[in-house]
Amino acid sequence: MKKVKRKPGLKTYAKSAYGFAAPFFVFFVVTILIPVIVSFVFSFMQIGSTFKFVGLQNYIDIFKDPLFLQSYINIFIIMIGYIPITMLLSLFFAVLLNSPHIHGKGFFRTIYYIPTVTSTVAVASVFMTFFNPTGLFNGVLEMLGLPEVQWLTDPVWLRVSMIITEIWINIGYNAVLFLAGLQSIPRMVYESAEIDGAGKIKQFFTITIPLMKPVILMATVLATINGLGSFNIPNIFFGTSNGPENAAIVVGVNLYKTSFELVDFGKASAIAWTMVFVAAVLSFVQFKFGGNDDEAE
Amino acid sequence: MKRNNRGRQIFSYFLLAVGAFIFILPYFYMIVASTQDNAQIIGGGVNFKFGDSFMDNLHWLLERYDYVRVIINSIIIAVVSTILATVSSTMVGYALAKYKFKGDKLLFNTIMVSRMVPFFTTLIPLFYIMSRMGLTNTYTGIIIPSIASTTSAFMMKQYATQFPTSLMEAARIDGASEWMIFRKIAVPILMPSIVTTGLLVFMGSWNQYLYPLVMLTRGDMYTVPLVIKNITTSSTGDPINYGGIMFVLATSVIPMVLIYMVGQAKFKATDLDAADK
Repeated sequence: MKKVKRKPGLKTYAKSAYGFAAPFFVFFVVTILIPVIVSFVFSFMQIGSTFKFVGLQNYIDIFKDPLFLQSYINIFIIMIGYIPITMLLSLFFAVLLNSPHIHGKGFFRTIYYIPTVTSTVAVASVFMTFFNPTGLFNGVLEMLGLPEVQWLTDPVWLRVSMIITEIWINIGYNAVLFLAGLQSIPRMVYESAEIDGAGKIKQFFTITIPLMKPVILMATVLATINGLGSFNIPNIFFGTSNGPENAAIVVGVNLYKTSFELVDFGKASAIAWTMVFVAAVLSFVQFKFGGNDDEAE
Repeated sequence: MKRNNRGRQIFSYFLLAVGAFIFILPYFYMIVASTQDNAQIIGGGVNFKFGDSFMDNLHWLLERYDYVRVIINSIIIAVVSTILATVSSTMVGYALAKYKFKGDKLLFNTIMVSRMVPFFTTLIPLFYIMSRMGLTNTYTGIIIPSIASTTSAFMMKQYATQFPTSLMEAARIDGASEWMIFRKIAVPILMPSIVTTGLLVFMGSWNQYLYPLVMLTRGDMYTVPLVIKNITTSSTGDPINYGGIMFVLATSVIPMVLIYMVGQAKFKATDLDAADK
């Protein structure tokens, strides 16, 4: 103890630091690190009453399975459908909120953010009600004199339904993220552009977009990773069914089915690791092509 | 020029209000529809009139799902998870922010990388281990994996960095132990951040779905999202009871929204927003 008092350098107190870190560390190892490693090992095994090492067999099996490929195609269609629209609308609302003449920013921001703190299961079940053949959405279409839509039973429209729901859920989170980014752009930059005669639209494309690029990129990468692991919404909409023409099955639901309905933990782990791989590749590609040179790392 | 600005301002408010309307509408609908029956909810057309089936929906839920027990399950799991996760992440965040120790960078980087790994990767081994230990259908089985919350640890590290090291040094000169400094100085100063982190853990736990779905198969252990799922599945062949769903939503989502709004106003508003997930 005496030694400690004489040398108040940070290193001296390392013992206490270990104490502070220990509870988290123990649970981190047991509930995250070890399961990740076990999952990787599982993906090379056939798991029943016994464990059998089967090499790459699980991976070969899933790639031969058309449903596996279809589940990736479906989730990609949905992500391509909602991520760009979400980002555009979020940026749009963030720019509106960032305007100096708008009062009640906090109020709007709070409202827009509510979907983020709501359970996606709850959101999905409300939208499922709206999407009912005689639900709210078709009621509105009817009022407008438009033909009704088979929101959840038509192979094309069911994807539109998922896209609409995802957009509704994700706008608030990204708008708040973008608003924080916009607030860090000094107002002077815009003022001097105005003096130079640049209109609002021009300012948006020459100042806002370039300066916001890193934030937008980060948000897109996060949205892609989250979207890939999509489970709650399709599971509430369609349970574990593949949907008409296999249009509703996504990777997350396929994995859940493989592990907890077909009880094939090996194959399911292999599917999980394709998700890790695809997420890593997509993040890399997005950073590579979306980033400036210095942000490419 | 001046008039142009004013017009633009009004138009901006209009667009923002349209956005707010679209985001609030489903919540308003939950409340209205919790008083309606199926005929009103999916009877076609647009119906935003309060019905008189509120008590019927409640009775149906109590009978079919023991809804009070479900709410209690959700509260127990969320409260215990929140306490344990907040304590452990405050401590690790403080250690990572305020001390240099062997492996600190490695620990921090591992935490950051693990946040990028999809939950599906850990789900199967977790389920396997938990079921081997007989922890399916228990609170413990759900709570244990929530303790090492990597997001909370990251947040608390960011907050604790702002805690002045000079305060620690002054206390050391006064002879305070490291634990005393943490308990008596750091924790009180960091309290708003700790509460913010806790609120996020609480909401995350209240909303979590996939893991409880796998772990809790007995009706008396269900949490709120599992009841919603179960009603939408309607395995008995009866039509889905939309009134029942809306009742669950009105009583489980709306309180959470209110907690968020109060917390938002009271504590570090921007942090609560910025630090999600």
